[in-house]
Amino acid sequence: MKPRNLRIATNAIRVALTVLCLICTVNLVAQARPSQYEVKAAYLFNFGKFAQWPTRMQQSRPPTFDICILGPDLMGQALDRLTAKEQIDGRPVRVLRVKKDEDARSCAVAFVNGSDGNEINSELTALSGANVLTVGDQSEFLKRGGMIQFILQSNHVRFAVNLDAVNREHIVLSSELLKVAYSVSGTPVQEPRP
Amino acid sequence: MNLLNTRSISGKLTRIHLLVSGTALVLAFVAYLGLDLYSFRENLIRSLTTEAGIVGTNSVTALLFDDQESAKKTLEALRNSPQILGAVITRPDGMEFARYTRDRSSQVEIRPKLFTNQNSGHWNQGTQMLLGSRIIFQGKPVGTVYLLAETRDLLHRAAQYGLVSSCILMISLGFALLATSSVRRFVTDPLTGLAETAQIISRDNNYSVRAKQPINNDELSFLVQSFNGMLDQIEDRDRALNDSRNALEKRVAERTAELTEANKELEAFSYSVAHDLRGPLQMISNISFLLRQRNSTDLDPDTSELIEQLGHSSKRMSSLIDDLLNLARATSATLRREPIDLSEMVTSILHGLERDEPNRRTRIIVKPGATVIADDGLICVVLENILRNAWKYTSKVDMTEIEFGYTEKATGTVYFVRDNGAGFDPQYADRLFRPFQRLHAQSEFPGTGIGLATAQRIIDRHGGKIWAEGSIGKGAVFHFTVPYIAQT
Repeated sequence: MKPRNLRIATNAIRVALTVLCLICTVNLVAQARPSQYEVKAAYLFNFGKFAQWPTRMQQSRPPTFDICILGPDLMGQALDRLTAKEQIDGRPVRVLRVKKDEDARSCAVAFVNGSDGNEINSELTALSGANVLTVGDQSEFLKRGGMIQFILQSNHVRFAVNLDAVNREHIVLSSELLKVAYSVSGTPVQEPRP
Repeated sequence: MNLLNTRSISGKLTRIHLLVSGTALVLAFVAYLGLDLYSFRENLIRSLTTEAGIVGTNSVTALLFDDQESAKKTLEALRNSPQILGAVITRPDGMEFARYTRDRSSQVEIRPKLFTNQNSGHWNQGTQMLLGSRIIFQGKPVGTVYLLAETRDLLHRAAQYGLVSSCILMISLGFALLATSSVRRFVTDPLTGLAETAQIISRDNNYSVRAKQPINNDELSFLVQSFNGMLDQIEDRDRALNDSRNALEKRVAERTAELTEANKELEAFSYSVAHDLRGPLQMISNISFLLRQRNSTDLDPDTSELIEQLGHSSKRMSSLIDDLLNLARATSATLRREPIDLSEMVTSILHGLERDEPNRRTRIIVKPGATVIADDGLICVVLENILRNAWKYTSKVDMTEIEFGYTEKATGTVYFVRDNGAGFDPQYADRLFRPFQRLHAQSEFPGTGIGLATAQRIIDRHGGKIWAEGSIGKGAVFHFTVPYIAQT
């Protein structure tokens, strides 16, 4: 092979490699940017790991750790993919899309969605007293009595916590979780020691 | 090995001491340093692992809920650990999540290095160490913590060890030198003293010197003591030997003087006896001659025979006295050496003998030219004795054969007189030269037994030798030498 040909071949290889690298980088960037609801699905799943439910629930608790979706499902398959074959608190995780609000009372975590505020209000009312950790997406969710509300801040999904609502349902959220919350409203309750 | 190639023992001991202590110290230094560096590194890894664990646990929610600020705050807590230069938390996919650098101005290069199946690991990067630890939450990896720590302390530590070791080495060197001086005082000095003493003794044969006794009481002191004791003994023995030798010499000198005196007295006595005997003997001889002359006709044959025997006996006694006087003279007379022609002397003596017995048939051979430097009178006595002997013992053969000659040997000229006479039994050859010892009966061959003894004494006085060879009936040969030594 003549030196000139060699140089051409080398250049060709160099160009090909550069292109390949660019493609790879683009792919990585695309992969590294999950969609907003994928992130929210992951958060929803993770909240369960940092929450403790009242002990009287322990005896009659269902054999599965149910994550329920009330109202329109925005998560899609992302949540199912995440929770497949996962366990929380020693129980297999199950994702339920609930048609009747009352059916969600046996759930541990509920993503409460609605087309308007009234629907959300009625859904929250239906869950009250059932010790369900309620997570919502709507801007007025905490004011309506919800416990954890997703907030979008500079393209980052964060969350705010209404401790009063959490305490009302005798749920204890881990301080680790509260540490990374965007904001925590309400006053923490010192539970009497048994 | 050149190390021990020094003359003094103390030098050798010092070098051995330094070598041993130096080696031990260097080995100890290396071992301690290695052990310390190892344990320091292990401790560093352990503390880094702990810190990574704490950071990891505290960053779980930050990772899970994508709160980079919280993670950064957690990492800021590392500012309490001055050895940690920087830290990085990565997501499970390896993307950087949060970063901490102790020195904001310096850029810390931390690249994720953990493999997906690894939960922790550490890597050395020059003077830094990178430690990675997977953050596990409820059995699942949620991210990784990387801590970059400084290991410059290790070098500090090594340097400190080196410094301490050199100090100890210097101190032990000092001690070694101190030990050397004490070794010199207690070991080398006594040994050197001993060696010098031994040298003086072997060089000068002077046994009166003594090695200096060392102060302390150890084996060396014992050695020196034994050495000196040995010298004492040798000296005592020498003195005793000397004393006894002196005593012996003195005694010998006394005895010699006594003997010489006695010998002189004896010679004087025998000389005067021989001399004084002559007068009466001459008288007897004369009277017997007169008796024979006067009364030869009147006397009966018996008396005549007795008178005849009286004459013979007195003649024999006269010759005996002559021989004794010769013997005495041979011993006492002073030597006057002058050149003598032996051949001529032999010829004249043999002519004299032939004249006395003209009827004998003789064959005489004399080799001319035999000259010696000796006392003329004494050598004449020697030759007369030997030739007379030869003449006497050939009296019974038909033809008398006497030969005088000489042969040159390496030791000098040997003269000889050969005859064809009666000879003698060779086993009695020694007796020939003793006074009054005779091998033949007086009736067979008359003689006094003094002649050859006289000859031997004269040859002795000239420093020569005389000896005889022969056998019965086959003649005899007498050999003698007359060496001349200018100094005498």
